[in-house]
Amino acid sequence: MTPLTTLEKAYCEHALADLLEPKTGIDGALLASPDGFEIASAIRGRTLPRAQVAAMSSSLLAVGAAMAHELRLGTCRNVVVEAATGTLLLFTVPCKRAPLVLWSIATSDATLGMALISTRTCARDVARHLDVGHLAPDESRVRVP
Amino acid sequence: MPSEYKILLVGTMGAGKTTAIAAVSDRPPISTDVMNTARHDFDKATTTVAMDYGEVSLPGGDTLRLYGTPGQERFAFMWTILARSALGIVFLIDNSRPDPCADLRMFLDAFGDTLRDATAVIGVGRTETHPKPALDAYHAVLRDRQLSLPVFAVDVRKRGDVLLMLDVLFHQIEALVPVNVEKPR
Repeated sequence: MTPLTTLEKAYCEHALADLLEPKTGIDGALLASPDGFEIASAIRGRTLPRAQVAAMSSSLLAVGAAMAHELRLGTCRNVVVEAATGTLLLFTVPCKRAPLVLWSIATSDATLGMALISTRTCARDVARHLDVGHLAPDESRVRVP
Repeated sequence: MPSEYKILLVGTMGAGKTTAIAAVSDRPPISTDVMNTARHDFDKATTTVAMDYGEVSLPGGDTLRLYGTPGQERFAFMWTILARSALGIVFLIDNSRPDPCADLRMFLDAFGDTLRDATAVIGVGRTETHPKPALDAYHAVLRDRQLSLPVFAVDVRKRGDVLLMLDVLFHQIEALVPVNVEKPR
């Protein structure tokens, strides 16, 4: 995987920060490489062992993909973990350079549909941006929001 | 009544855990390999991030369930999860690494709790190209830990080599499991 440029990382940080808007019900998000290295994160109001959870998100999504394959369900797009005080949403970022991992934490009072759509949209935007950046590596043409 | 035995394959990245399971599994192995983005640390295209899985049917109807662990210590949380209820461990050591005896010591520490109720074998790979340390060095490591476990030189690409290790491990497990217990814990 081609390493992300500074501008690409900045775009990812912005995209994840946008996910934390009150209407989404999300108070934490992290983007990781396919093998679980953190690329960008936006966490509100809590301290997390980010390296550890980045690695765990890679494992969990890989198990989801293996299970979907075993059940002949096709490509795994996301894994949802509903816990007592929040819901973890794990998405595959359909990036051609490498299928990155994006997770978000929806609070217990969040509307799950809104959190799902917001995270999925973020995953698609990140993928689109990174693929465009990869095909046309002239950074001056990449607009950082 | 046929029994099922959970076996763990443990080793550093590139030691051959995924290859070993693929070499002997009766069913297509389940893999969680993804792109390795840390090529500067280890020049390998993919890495296991959760587990490998395969099965070996034994002539008496028993089944060995083989679970391969991720090699990177970043994924040690999976070691703990996968080690639950394992009855046997295959420690795969890569003799081409800088200090393979230290690798074995690290894994003996990491799986010390499991080894209290389970048994293990040591498979040392790449000895053809890297004959040192000799197998005696691994026996010395085990002696230091008051452990008496078999040590083999193996080529995990060879089905016969892997099956030999599993056969020895299975007989050790049988010695552990009470005769009248049909299912492992």
